[in-house]
Amino acid sequence: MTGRVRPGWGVLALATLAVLFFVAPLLGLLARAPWSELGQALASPEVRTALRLSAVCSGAATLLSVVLGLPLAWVLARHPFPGRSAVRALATLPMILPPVVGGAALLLAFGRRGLIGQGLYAAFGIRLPFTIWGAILAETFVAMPFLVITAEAAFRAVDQRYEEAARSLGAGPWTAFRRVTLPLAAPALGAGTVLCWARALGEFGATITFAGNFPGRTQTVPLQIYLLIESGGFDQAIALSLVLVGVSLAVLVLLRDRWTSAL
Amino acid sequence: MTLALQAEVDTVVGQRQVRASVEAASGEIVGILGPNGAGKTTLLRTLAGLHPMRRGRIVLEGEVLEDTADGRWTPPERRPVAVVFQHLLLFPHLSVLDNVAFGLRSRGSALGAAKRQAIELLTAAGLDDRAASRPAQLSGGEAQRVALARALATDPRLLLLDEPFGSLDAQARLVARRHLTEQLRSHRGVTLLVTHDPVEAMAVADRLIILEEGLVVQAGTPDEIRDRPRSRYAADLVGLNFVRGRGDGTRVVVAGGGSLVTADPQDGDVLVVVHPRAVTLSGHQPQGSARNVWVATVESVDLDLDGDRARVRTMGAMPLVAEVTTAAMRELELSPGAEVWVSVKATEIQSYRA
Repeated sequence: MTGRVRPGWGVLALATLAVLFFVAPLLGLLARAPWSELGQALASPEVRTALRLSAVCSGAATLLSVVLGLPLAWVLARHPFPGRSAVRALATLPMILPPVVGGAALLLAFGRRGLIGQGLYAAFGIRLPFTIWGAILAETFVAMPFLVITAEAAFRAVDQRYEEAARSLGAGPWTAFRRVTLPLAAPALGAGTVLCWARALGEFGATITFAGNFPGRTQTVPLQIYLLIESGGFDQAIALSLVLVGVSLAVLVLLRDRWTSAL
Repeated sequence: MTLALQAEVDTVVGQRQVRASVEAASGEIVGILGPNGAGKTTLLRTLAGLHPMRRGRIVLEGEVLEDTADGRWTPPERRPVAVVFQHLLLFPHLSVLDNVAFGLRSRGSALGAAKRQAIELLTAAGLDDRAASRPAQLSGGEAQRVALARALATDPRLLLLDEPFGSLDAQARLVARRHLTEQLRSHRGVTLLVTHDPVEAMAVADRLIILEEGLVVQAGTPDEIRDRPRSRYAADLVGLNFVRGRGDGTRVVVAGGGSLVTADPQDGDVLVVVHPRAVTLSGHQPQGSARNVWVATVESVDLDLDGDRARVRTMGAMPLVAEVTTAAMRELELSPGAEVWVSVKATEIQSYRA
C-alpha cells in the first residue's frame, strides 16, 4: 500500500469530524455512567423484567424471521418468477419505512378492527395489539428484512453446480439443500440472523405504536429506556443503554468483515 | 452385443439445438469429441437429468429413465448415473472421505458402512492418507481421483466424465489417464467421456462420437475415424487434409475450386483426405509422375515439438497442409509468402462417399 496519495486536508478534517460525531454520544454515555451503582441499577425488578422481556421478544422475533424469512430468501435467490423484484422490494420496505409508520400499519392490519385482526378476533378470539405477541410481531416486521436480504445473498453465493453434483450423487432436493447448500451458506446465514436479532432487540417505534408500553408485557428495554429518561431515572436509563451498547459492540466484533460483505 | 444405453436426445441450450443419439454396450467407453460449444456438456447433463429435454428418450439397461412421448422423467437422484464434472465440484465443506461417502449416504447406506466403503475406495485410488483432508488441500491430480472415486462409489450403470482432465497439466494428465483406465476396468456400466483432446479420446475410448454444432457428424471406432473422417473437424483431429468435392470418374471437382485426380473412381458427392506427408513441396516444377501439381503460396510454417518436421500450410485453390522435414524446409526457404510447387500422387488421395 505504498505510494498512496494522502487525502487533502479539507477531506481529512471532515472525515475526522464524522468520526467524532459517531464517538461523542458514546463517550457521553460512558462519562455519565454510574459505574459504582451499575449492578444495583440493573438489579431492580422492573429493569430485570424489561431485560427478560427483550430477550424473549427478540428471540421469538428472530425465530419467526428465520422460519418465514429463509424460505422467502430461498425463493428469491433460486426461483425466478414474474414480479420477483417487486416482492423483494416489499420484503425490504420495513428497512426504510419509519418504524412508527410500520407500527401504525400493523395496527390497521392486525388491530381489533383491522383488516386481518377483525377476523382473527371474531374467529379465534385472538388479540394481537398491546400484547407480548404484538411486541414480537412488531419486532419481526422491522427485523426480518435484514435476514431476508443477507440470506438471499448467501444462497446466491452458493454455486448451484454443487447442488447439481449432490443431485447426481443421489441426494433429493431437500438432502442437497441440507447437506450442501445450507452448510456452504451457513456463515453468511449466521451473520444475517445475528443482524436480524440485533435489530429486533433495539426495536422501538413499531413496538410502542402497535404493542404499547405495558411493563412486563410489551415494555422492552428500548421502551423502558425512553420511559426512564422521560421520568428522570437517568442512572437506570444509562445502565440499560450500556447493556445495549455492549450487545451492539459484541455483534460488531462477531460479524467483523461479514457486516459489509453480507449486505 | 446388447445395448445398455439407448438415448435419443433433442434439447436446446441457449441458442444451440442439440440433437444426438447415443448407444453403448455394457463396459464400453464412448468418447464424445467436439469443439467448444458443440453441445457435449449439454448432452451429458441431459443424460444425468440435470437439463430438460425437448423430445427424446433415454433407456438404461432396459429401464426408461426419460421419455417425452409419455412424460416419464426420473429425477437425477434416482438415476443410476454418476457424473465427474469438468470442475470436479468436490464439496468444499466436506472432507475427502465424506465426499466419497456422499453418494452412498444419499442412496441409503448407514454412516458406518458408507465410511468403511469410502475408505476402501480411497485406498484403491491410493489416497487413503488424504481421507481427512479438505478438497482445497489436494493437488489437481488428487482432486481428480477423488472425484472419480466419488462418482464410482455408488456403482453407477452410466458414468459421465466431462473433460475430467481439463484442469490438469500435461504431466498430470498422463498419470490421471492411466489411473482412469485402471479404475474403469472394474466398472461394468457404460462410460461416456467428453473431451476435446483427440489423443485422450483415442487412447481411452472404444468408440467415438463426434459432435459439431449440436449434431452427431460421425460415430465409429477410432480407426474408422482415423481412416475416413467425415468432417473438417474430424480430419483436423486425426491430422489429415480434408476436402469436399464432386467425383466424376477419377476426377474430383473440389468445392472451393480446382480439381484432383484420384486412383479409384467415384461419382457424386465425395469426401477427400490426404495425409500431409503425401503432400510434396518443391522449388521448381516437379518432374515426377504426380498427377496433381499446382503452384501455391505458403501461409504459415509450424515446427513440431521435436523440431525435425514442420507443417506447412499453403493458400490457394487447394489449401493443403504439407508435412516436410526441417532440412527440406530450409532448403526450400519456406516462409510465409513464399511460392512453392505442390504435388500429390493420385494414389495418395483417399476419396469416399460423402
